[in-house]
Amino acid sequence: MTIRRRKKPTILLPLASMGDIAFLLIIFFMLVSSFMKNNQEFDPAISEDIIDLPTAEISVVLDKDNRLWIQGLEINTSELAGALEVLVQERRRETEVHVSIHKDLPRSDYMPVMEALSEAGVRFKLTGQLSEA
Amino acid sequence: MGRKRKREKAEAEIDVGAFADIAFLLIIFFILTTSIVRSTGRELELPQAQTPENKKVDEKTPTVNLLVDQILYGEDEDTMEEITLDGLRATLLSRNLREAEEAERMVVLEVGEEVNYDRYFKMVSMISDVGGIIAIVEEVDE
Repeated sequence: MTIRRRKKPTILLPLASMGDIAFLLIIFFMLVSSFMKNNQEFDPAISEDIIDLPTAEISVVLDKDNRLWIQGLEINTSELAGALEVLVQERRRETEVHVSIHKDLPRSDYMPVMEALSEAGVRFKLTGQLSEA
Repeated sequence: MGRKRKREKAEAEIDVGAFADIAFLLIIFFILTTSIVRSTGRELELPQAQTPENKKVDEKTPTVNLLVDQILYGEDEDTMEEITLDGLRATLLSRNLREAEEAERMVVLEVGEEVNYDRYFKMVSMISDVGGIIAIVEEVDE
C-alpha cells in the first residue's frame, strides 16, 4: 500500500501593501509633529481662570532672559507688531496667536509686549498653567 | 542540430518583509516621541492702541490698581479701596459684564512697576473670565 504525502500549501502574505500602509502612517506623523526649538527657558504663569485653548498657529514667547521669540525666531519688541501683521495677513483668516510670558518678569519687560500686541490689532490669547487649587 | 534549450526565467523578488519592519519601527519611534501639547490660557480683549483719538476713561469705569502686595478697586480715584482677588471677582460678577454693551465692559487696569507677570496674569485672566475688557492705562501729558 502506498501512502501519498500531501503537498504542503505554501502561504504567501502580501507584505508590500503592509509597507505602504506603514509609510503612509510615517508620513502622517511627520506632518502632524511640530519640532520646536527648545532654547527658550520659560516658566508659565498660573491662574485658576483659564481654559483649554485650540492649537496655536502663531506662537509668541517672552523668555526668562527677556528675549522675545515669534515662531521660534528671536526678534525685538519694536518688530513684533509688524511681524504679527505680516503673519496674520499671510493666513488671511482668524488666526490663533498664543502669547507665553515667563512668570517672574517685571512690568517693564512684559508691558511693551502687551502694547505691541494691542498695536498689531490681533486677537491673542495669554497662555498659562491651570492652578491645581 | 540540437534543440535550443529555453533558459529558465530568473524570478526577481525583493524581500519587502524587512522593509515593513523598518517602517513599523519608525512608526513606533514617532508615536513614542510625539507629545501632543494642550495649551491652556485666556483670550485677552484689549482696545486697539492705534485709534485716532483714544477714548478718555469714563469717571464711572471700574478701575483696578494692581500693586505688589495689594489690590485697590473703585470707580474713581477718591473711592479706591483695598480688595482681595476673590472680592474683586464677586464685585465684577455682580456688574454682569458679559451681558453689558462693549463700552460698559471696560475695566481700567493700572499696574504697579514692581508687579511681576504671574500676578498680572492672574488679574487679567480673572477680569476676562468675568467678561471684562481690559483697558491699559497710558498717561498722556496735557
